[in-house]
Amino acid sequence: MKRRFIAAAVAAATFFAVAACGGSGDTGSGADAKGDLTVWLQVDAQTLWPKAVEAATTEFTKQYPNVKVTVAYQAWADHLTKFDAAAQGGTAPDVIELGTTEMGLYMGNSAFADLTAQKGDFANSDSWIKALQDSATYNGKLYGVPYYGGTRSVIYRKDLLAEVGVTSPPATWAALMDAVTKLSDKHKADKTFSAFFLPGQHQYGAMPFIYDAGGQVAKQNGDGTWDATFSSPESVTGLKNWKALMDAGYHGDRTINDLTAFSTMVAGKAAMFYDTSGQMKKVFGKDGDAKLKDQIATFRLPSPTKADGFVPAFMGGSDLAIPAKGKHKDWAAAWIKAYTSPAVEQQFVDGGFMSNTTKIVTSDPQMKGYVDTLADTWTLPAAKNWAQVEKNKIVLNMFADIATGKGTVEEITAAADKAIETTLNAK
Amino acid sequence: MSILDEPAVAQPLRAPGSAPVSRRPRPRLPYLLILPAIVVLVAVIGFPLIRVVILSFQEWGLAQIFSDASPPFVGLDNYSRILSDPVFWTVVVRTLVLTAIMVSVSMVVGVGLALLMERVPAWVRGCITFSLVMAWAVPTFVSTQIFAWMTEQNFGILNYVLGLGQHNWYTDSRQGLTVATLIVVWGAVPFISITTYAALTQVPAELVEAARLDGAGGRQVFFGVTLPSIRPVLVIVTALSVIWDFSVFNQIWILRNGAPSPDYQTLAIYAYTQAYQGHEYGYASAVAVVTVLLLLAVMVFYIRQLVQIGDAE
Amino acid sequence: MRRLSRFGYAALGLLAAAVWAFPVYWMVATAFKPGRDMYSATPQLVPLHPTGQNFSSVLGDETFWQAAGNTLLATVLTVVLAMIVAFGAAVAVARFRFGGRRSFLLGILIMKMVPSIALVIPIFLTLTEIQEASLGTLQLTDAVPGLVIAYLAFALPFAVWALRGFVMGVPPELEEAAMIDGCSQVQAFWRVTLPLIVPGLVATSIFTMILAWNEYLITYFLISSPEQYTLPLWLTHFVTTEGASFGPLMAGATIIATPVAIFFMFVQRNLARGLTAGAVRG
Repeated sequence: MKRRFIAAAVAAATFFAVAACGGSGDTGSGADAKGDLTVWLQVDAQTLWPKAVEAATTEFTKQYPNVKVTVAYQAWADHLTKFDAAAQGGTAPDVIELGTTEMGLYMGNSAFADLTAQKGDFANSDSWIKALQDSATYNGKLYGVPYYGGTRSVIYRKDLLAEVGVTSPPATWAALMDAVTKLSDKHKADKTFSAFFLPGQHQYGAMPFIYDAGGQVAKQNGDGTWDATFSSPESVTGLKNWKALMDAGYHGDRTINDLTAFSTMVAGKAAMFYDTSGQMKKVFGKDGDAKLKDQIATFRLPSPTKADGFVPAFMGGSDLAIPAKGKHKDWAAAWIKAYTSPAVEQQFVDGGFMSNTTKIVTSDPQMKGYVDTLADTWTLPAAKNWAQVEKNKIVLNMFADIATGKGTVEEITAAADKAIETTLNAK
Repeated sequence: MSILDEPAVAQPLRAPGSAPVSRRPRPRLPYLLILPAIVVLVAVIGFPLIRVVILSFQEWGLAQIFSDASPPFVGLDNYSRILSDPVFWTVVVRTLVLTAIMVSVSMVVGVGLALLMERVPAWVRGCITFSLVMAWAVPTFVSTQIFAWMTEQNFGILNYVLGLGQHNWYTDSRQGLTVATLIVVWGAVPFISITTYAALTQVPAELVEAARLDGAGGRQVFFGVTLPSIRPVLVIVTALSVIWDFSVFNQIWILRNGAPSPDYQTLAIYAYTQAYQGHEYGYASAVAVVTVLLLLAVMVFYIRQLVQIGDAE
Repeated sequence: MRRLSRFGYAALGLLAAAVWAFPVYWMVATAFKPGRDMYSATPQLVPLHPTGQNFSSVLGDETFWQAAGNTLLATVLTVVLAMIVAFGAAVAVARFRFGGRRSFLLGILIMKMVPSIALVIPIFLTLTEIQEASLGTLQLTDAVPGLVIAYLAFALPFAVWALRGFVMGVPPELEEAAMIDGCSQVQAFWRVTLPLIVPGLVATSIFTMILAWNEYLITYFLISSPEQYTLPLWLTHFVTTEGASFGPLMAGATIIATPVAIFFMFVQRNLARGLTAGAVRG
């Protein structure tokens, strides 16, 4: 009955709409809306949860049956340049996914629609993970909707640890270093074995130590300018702790990033590493060894500065935004609402990540380390130019230099801070 | 001086004694022949290039893109920003040195391989050409990854074969850039060899015979007959190699996991991290213009040669 | 003595072939390895537990076949058009002296010097504007015709210069002889010059084919709809924030390289035809 009514309304409204506007075709709201909705998601969605995307579109189509939804998956390299080109050429998408660290620059340039008033429309918005919400907030206003999150915890092979007598995950820093020492001793003869795989350009492995020691990466002054604080005493202490773990447990190329950690573990040459749940799943996924599934477990990284504490993890992930130049902001909001509904967020959790809310978490015991980190996470400062700092690779090269011992921690961070501030405070 | 030293005789537009029927449409013929090429090139590259030059004098970033403001002209600001950056000059020198090495090694190996291809049995030549074309067909982002694996510190096959233990090829940028050079040469030689070989097959056999009969040895034949004959092709192949190697990006970028340290930065990488990733397209366009001017400066002597071949009178 | 040097050359040739083929072999071998063997501590030169799962995940993906069709169409059109247009331009600059000849040659070389990343946004914007000006008759963005035009522009500078070099290697007396026999100039180019530069055409067409087949950057900017993806775009979906999925990536790259091999098999006999005494005598 309701369907027939809607269908009749659609038919009638379409007739009037077409009669009235002759050409453009993208009109109306609600059930009589007709047109195209373009959504840009990253390739991760295509690989990890294509069904979630379909579910969202199906849900959206119930409300807007005549709007055609096109989801185009973007590669991470150059996707922002493509967005710039599309915005300039008048073909910007209606919904776009951006990584949490990419949001700042665009929010600072008024690229996205202000969603502060509509916040309540989105599911679970009162319990959004704070770090994710912060990444979508600029000058107190909301410009994006948290999509999914991801933290890091220690991933380890139970069999390798059991070989040296460690049968329960280390809960304190002392216990962790003890395990590292035991593993290194056992595998002394093998120069390619790492008790703890922790290379230099693994920036989200290094930065948490800074926050753990009470430091931060940058601080905003009263006048709005930023100070980079990698060289503050607390940050330096944190970085020295990081290096201590690397020196004790890692034997490999210190200039690389963490993307080969999982394969090293698969080859039996790494007993522990600190990374995302996606990397954990790779150990026993298609690119790994399925037989290892029962041997993999996680625990939260203990703090070197607080005896009973833990290192706060970086909350990464993505947000969904509506370009201000888009022509169908209402439809876009509706699609995002469907895509961040509890049922769909559950699919992200099932896919191994975190939902955008503290209310939907996994009960998978293998993910315990990750769930525990939700208690204390941080995100990067909402500086407009932080993304440019990342793109200049100053931070990554600073960490690589510290790791390869190209100077003292104090010297390297002081030099890097100066370079970072120039970029952060550029107009 | 053989007849091959003379360029192809430029057809005079009013040749006496030629068939009068074709006299009237003839002046237009060369223009008609180049017209399709001109249309495509002007539309796809010509107009955009003009845009790039104009952009280089403007400030065009996210603020302008997202605010419908028209980008302000800032005169030479972008250029002075580039030229006053000390890192820029270091990067330029590094790029020039690297390009010189990459081009010379590629050309020597490539032409050498082409000459070898002339002298081997047909089946061996088939194997070589097949290998080369396959190597050529692999996109750089795949081939660089393969070389990265092969040179990995702990598990790479190169260390294994050379017995080097856990040697890190990348802490010293000179060694790392050598690996990058290897990747570039590996990818460039197929194009050079195959094109040069095609040119070699066109050297008229009877000229070689005549020179041999005159008592010329292998080297004299090469330098006196073969080289002049393939010179136009060699020259364009070298020019293209210079242009490509000057802009090498993927091989170094992917080799360094997308975060090359300052020692590894070439002009293309500098442009990318400073300009494109900062979404400052006016500044980026200025860098592109400076890149083209640098290339022109490097090749000015060469370009004269290129254009003069075929003009000598 | 001769036989020894022949043997030596052959051995050297096979060594060169092996050296160039090795990384390609490594790519193919990796495509057949299951995840755990890909990263084994002692590199496996030959896959010890070969598996077809990487290939089946590629071949079973319907978006792959769609992308393959788009790429094939775009490439074939590009190669054919590029050869025709470049040959015409090459004979023009090689055989005639006309006003603007040098500027044309220099201009297209300068176009090649501009870094592609600088051009992508302007090209995207220009093609969008041309499309709008033509009121939609010219489908330039998000469609194969636009790709073909863009690839043509990237391929033409080298193609024109290279074919010019090859045409210059053909003595103009041959064309004059044909014209005395009654051909028009264009017919002389078509019937006499073109067959004689077949090796040059082959080399240039291989270059153009590979350029069009593997072109990624401008394609990424021009194409938005998944149905219009080409193979290089399709390949990048194996690279996510969690790094690249190397098994399917190498399998995909191997499959993508195969048509190039096939194309090469067809044309390679013609890579070696040279001027013979018979041709010179007409």
